[in-house]
Amino acid sequence: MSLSHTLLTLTAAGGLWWGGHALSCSRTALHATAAPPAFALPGSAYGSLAARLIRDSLYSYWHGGESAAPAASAQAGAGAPPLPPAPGRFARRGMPAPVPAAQTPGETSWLQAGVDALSRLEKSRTRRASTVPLSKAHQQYLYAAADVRLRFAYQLDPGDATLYEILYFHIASRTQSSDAARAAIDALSQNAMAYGLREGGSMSDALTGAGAAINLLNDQLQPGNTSRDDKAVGREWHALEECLERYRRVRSSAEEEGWWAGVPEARRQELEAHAKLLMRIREMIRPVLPPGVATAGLAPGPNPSSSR
Amino acid sequence: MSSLRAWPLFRLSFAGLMGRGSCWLLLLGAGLFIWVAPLLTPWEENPQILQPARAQAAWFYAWIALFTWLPFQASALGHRMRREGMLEHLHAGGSGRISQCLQLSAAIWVWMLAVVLIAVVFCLTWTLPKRPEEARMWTTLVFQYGLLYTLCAAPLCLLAVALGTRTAEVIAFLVPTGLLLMGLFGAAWLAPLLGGAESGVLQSLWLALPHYHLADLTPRLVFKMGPLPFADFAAAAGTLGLQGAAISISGLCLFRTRS
Repeated sequence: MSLSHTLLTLTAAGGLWWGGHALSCSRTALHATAAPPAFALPGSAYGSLAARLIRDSLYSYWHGGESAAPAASAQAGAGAPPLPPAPGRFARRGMPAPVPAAQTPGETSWLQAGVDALSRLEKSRTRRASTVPLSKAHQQYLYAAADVRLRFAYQLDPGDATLYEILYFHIASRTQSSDAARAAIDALSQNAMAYGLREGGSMSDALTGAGAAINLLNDQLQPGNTSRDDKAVGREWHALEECLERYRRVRSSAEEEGWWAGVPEARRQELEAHAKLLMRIREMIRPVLPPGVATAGLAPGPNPSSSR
Repeated sequence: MSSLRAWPLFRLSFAGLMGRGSCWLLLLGAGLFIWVAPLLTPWEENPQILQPARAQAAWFYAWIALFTWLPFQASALGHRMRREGMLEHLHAGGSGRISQCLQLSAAIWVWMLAVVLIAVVFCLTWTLPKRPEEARMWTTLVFQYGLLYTLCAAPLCLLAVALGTRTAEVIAFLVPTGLLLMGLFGAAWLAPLLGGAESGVLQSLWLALPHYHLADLTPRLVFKMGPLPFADFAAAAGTLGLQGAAISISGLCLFRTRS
């Protein structure tokens, strides 16, 4: 196929696409309303995987581009002394000079040295070397870029607790008017709560829902809040209890059915620590609840939507 | 009978590529992509005029070309030349195997350097920062990036050509693409697994794998972090150069002229 044919075909295809786009923009009846997502990725396991990958590269946007992965250092041997705290100059006044970190004797073979050199190179690939500060327009661009990635990643996996919390903080701290911020945050948290309570939600989804409920309760129960809505507090408290109960149930059935041990060790510890933290916060909230809410928590909450 | 002109195979394959025409699409696609890609993303309040997005798109296109067009054309070229018997003919006429392999790869390297040149020129003209000290750092960074990218790309193209003379086009295309995938994206995943392992075998496997992620300086462009310090740049270039040399040597060994 000669080049002119190729170019003609491309132009024709481009023109057709543009024409179709122009037509569908002008006629609202042709708009795809609530089209099912492509390949049903958002909310699926692949969406969760993609969200986790995006999340890890997203952290760099809050570190000025530097990778947030910890620098791989040689594991301290079991007999190494604990690292001394790193005080500032004034705190160190009067204390003896800090001892230099003990060198791990001799175990660094050339292989280990090579691996360490590689990881050091990789870390320094994104280390800032410029002393010129970023311009305001550039900062705006980076904020917009991070915002797009964050929302996209959250859309891929609404049950990811880290992404939810980061998005919550992002909206709360960056939206111009506080009313719009409040509305957006409330919608986000309600969404996350409903997602945590849906049919077939996982442990992570339940914990995210619990975190969302805690955020909503926190807003309602603040001392300066004049428009406290007791019914809403009751609903949110009930949702919190349900989410944590759901987590407990899935966790115990996981142990019974034997797939708890299949989860990677780090992830297991992460889930347990998160659940412990949320339960501790719940105990801190309980005494602050308006009277009658904790005991009336058996009122039926909103029906969790069964389809996502 | 020796050819009257120098580098006959290079001229032949270069003319063949130009005749097929997809190379012009490659360059045209570079311009289109650099212009269109930042506009497709929904940045509000018009910060898409901001230059790091365009620079990012330019280098992203270079890597995409290394994933798609370059290894495919290289493997197709090697396969075609061997199948038509041109390699054997020239081998009988006196040109050596290594010379033939290098000539074929050179025809692909021209287009690889064209893509890099487009990215470099774009970064140095439209997206140059205004302040002079920033502009100097930007220029150094762009040249560093160009050099590291070339160190990655050239051996992969040679490997694709050499494999094309041995096996089917598709296999010859998939091997460099797989290496590139592993080197760019697999590093973050494999590093704790292999690099942190206790056994020496796994660690040496980690060292032997390609480390193309070291050449990905796009974050430094987007966040304007300044050029790599010279020691790090030399170490990265040395690592990539050594691995590239290893890949090139194995490619040269695999090159086959008998049809």
